[in-house]
Amino acid sequence: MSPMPHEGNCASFCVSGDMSIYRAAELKDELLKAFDSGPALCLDLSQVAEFDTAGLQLLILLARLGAAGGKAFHVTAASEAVNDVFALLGYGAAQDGDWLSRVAARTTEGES
Amino acid sequence: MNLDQALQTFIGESRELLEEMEQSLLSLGATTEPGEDIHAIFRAAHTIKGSAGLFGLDGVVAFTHIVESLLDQLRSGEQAWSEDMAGLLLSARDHIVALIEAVAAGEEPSTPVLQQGAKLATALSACMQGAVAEVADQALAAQADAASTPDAEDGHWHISLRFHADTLRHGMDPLSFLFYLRNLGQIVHVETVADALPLDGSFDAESCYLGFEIALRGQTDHAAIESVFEFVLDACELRILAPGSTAEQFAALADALPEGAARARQWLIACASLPAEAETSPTDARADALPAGGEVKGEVAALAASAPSPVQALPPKPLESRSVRVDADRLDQLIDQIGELIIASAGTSLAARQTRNPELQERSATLASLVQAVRESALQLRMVRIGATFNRFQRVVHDTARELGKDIGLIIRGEDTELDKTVVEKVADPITHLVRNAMDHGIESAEVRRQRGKSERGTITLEAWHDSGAIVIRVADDGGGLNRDKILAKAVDRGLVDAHRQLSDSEIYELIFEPGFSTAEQVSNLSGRGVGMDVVKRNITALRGSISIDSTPGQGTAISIRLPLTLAIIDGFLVEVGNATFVIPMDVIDECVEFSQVGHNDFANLRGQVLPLIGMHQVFGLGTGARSGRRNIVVIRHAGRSFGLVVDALLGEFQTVIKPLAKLFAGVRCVSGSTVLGNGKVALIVDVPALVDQAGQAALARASAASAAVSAA
Amino acid sequence: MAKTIMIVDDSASMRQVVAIALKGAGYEVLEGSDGQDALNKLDGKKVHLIISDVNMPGMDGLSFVRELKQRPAYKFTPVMMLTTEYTDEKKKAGQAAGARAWMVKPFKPDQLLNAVQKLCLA
Repeated sequence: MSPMPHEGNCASFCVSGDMSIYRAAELKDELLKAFDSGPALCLDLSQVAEFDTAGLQLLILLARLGAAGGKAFHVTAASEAVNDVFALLGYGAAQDGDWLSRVAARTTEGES
Repeated sequence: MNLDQALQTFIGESRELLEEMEQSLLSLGATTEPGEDIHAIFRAAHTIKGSAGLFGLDGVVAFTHIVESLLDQLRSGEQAWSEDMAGLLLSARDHIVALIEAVAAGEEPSTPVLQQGAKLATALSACMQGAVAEVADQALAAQADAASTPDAEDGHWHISLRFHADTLRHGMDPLSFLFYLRNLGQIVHVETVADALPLDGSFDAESCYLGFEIALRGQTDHAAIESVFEFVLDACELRILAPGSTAEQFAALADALPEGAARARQWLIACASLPAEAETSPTDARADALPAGGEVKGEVAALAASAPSPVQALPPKPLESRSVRVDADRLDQLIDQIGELIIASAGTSLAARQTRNPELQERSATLASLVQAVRESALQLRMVRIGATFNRFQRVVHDTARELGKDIGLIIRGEDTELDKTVVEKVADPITHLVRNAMDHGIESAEVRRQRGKSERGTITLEAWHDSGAIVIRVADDGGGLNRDKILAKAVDRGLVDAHRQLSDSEIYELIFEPGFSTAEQVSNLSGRGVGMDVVKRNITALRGSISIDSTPGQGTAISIRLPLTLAIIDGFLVEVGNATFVIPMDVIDECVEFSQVGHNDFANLRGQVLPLIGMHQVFGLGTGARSGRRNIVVIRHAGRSFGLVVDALLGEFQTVIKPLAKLFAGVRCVSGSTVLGNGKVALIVDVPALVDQAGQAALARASAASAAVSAA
Repeated sequence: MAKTIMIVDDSASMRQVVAIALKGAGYEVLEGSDGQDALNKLDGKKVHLIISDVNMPGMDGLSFVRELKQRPAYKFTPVMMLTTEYTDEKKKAGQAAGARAWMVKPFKPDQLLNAVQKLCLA
């Protein structure tokens, strides 16, 4: 998992290996650093081996932060493990971005 | 690897465990404090039950479950250990053996086995104080049934989940349970509830902030859904609404959710659990309209807690108030320390003598006699009655008689006779063998007994008494007695004795202790398995004991075992060989005589008898040195024969504490232990049986050759 | 990639059957005959679930789990205890040690498989 060269103004970040509770704390710091480094974050999840609730929470955190701070957050690719979870939760394809509104719905829908 | 191989593993493993179980049960016998052994027994039952379940051996599971429950109560002290209990558990253990053997044979257990099982199950259950577990189990099952609601054809189940923060840290992954939920039906819709997830620095990546609202369609029930989350019931709020639940019930659910009713209603609508147009006022919602949901668990727990408590007054145990239980290890430690004390005291006495200070000598003598007294008391602490061991034979005799189809009773005498605990433990096996042997080969069949004018019921007598510092245990039968001629014929046949030798009756009887000797015409199940009397004898001699046999034709046979009261301390005789000091156990020594230089090296003439000589120098490879003094002969008696041990000097009697030999000496033959002398030197304790085994035969041959030569001359 | 499960039980037949059932369902299986043996065999290897008997000679199940949870590699590894009965008392002891899941003995391979799949899907 290393920051990749910027494509345009999007900081790219690739998570390889497990995105799970074992590495959640460490990944959180790295992801937030990448997220802060530019106006947008492009996350490549195609190399994720295992993906659990802790991993999902990190994505939700980024989605929320993006929505709150007006930053763009994209998942550019996802592995089978990630796709399985997205399918389970009815999020659709990770790349489509529909799921962002599903998890970031708190302020927009909740208070209406 | 396939299941069949695993089954074979199971059978082998069970046999081993059952054997251990029997040994533990037998060694526990009538103790009142089963301690560690009971854990081992419990574990055996537990393991067998567990594995049997895997193979679907329901009969084995059902029976071992009862045994295990009783053992658990014994283990926790809820049940008191008793000898009857030991007997019952032995029978139960035998029944498990029968069940396992049926499995091994690939058969169903036979009807008698099943009947026996039913009887035992009843007896075991009767022992347990109230069938608490069963009551609770049934209640649980009933509760679970009641909680399940038949599935409606239409609609879906609504499942509301909120996980506690620690869930992930406990290794539980909510997503994993959700994946599993798909086994119960189709997940129509999921709402991810992430309201609790903080966006600031308080976000902890290892905490769980999520919840889910789930619509599940499928033929399932409340209990099945709950069981999906069984491992996280403590770590989440789980609410389940059955298909067709009313708007009021959903409203109540929405009210109960931490995110607030308004937001919750949106999720319920998104799940299509609530119709989009539904407008329910919060005031309609009644909390008690919500089905049990997360509360089911609590009720079950309360129910289990209110199950009848196992209080049942046991009759007070008599004669216990004046005794204190002490861990056997502590006693052993005390005796070890007293051993050191004896050695130190001997050293002090020696030093005192050398000072020639009369007062010091006087005082050290007083000290030595006090130490002796303490030693006696300490050894007394470890003395236990042999009764408990003897009583165990009621069962052995009972079972064996049944196996043999003979009617045999057991008479026990001298059960109050005490001996060292360590000896008791080791003597049980040899006695068992002797008892079985007497029943099998000694007691005649009922028919023969009738013909001989004896009562049809045979009798085995087991008795014990003290005899000058030793305990004698005698196993006697009122059977046909040993057949002198048959034994002799067999011994000749086996090449054990020379056909022309004249042997006394007792010498002939002794032959049954020779390795490989068996007189049973028909090898029976019980004692004809090759481990014969020779093994018994070897075990007894290993305990520094001796065994003798007495038989009267037509009236019976009695075998007596003579054992030292304790194994910790030995009365010995100190001798010097070369530069080394040896201790010869007093109980084998007949006398000491001077070695006549003019005589022969291979035998001595002891009051007209040829005494075969064993040279200790040769046996232990010690040089005779340049000793000028006279040598001596210690006359020992072993296995009905006398031998003379040739030594350099006689140093006198010595009461000594036996220390096990260091590993270094494990390979040294003819030495059974060591001890430390008053002067700090180490003396080796001679293992007389081993010594005679090794050197006796050759000594005999040399002696007879030499004596023949002398008389021919 | 197949998930790995370790079964720790002093009964060889128990281990064999559990291994057969789990392998059949697509898991990789490690076996340990008691706590110490299991720790030796784990040796930092990645496992997704540990199934352990409670009653074992040598290092028993609870000591094993306590020891296991001290090791960073297994801090978050779910542990399922195999117990004879599941009283509140035993549950508390198990949870205190770090085991959250349990299976009451005796069980059929299917039951175990069901429980295992709740914790980690093959």
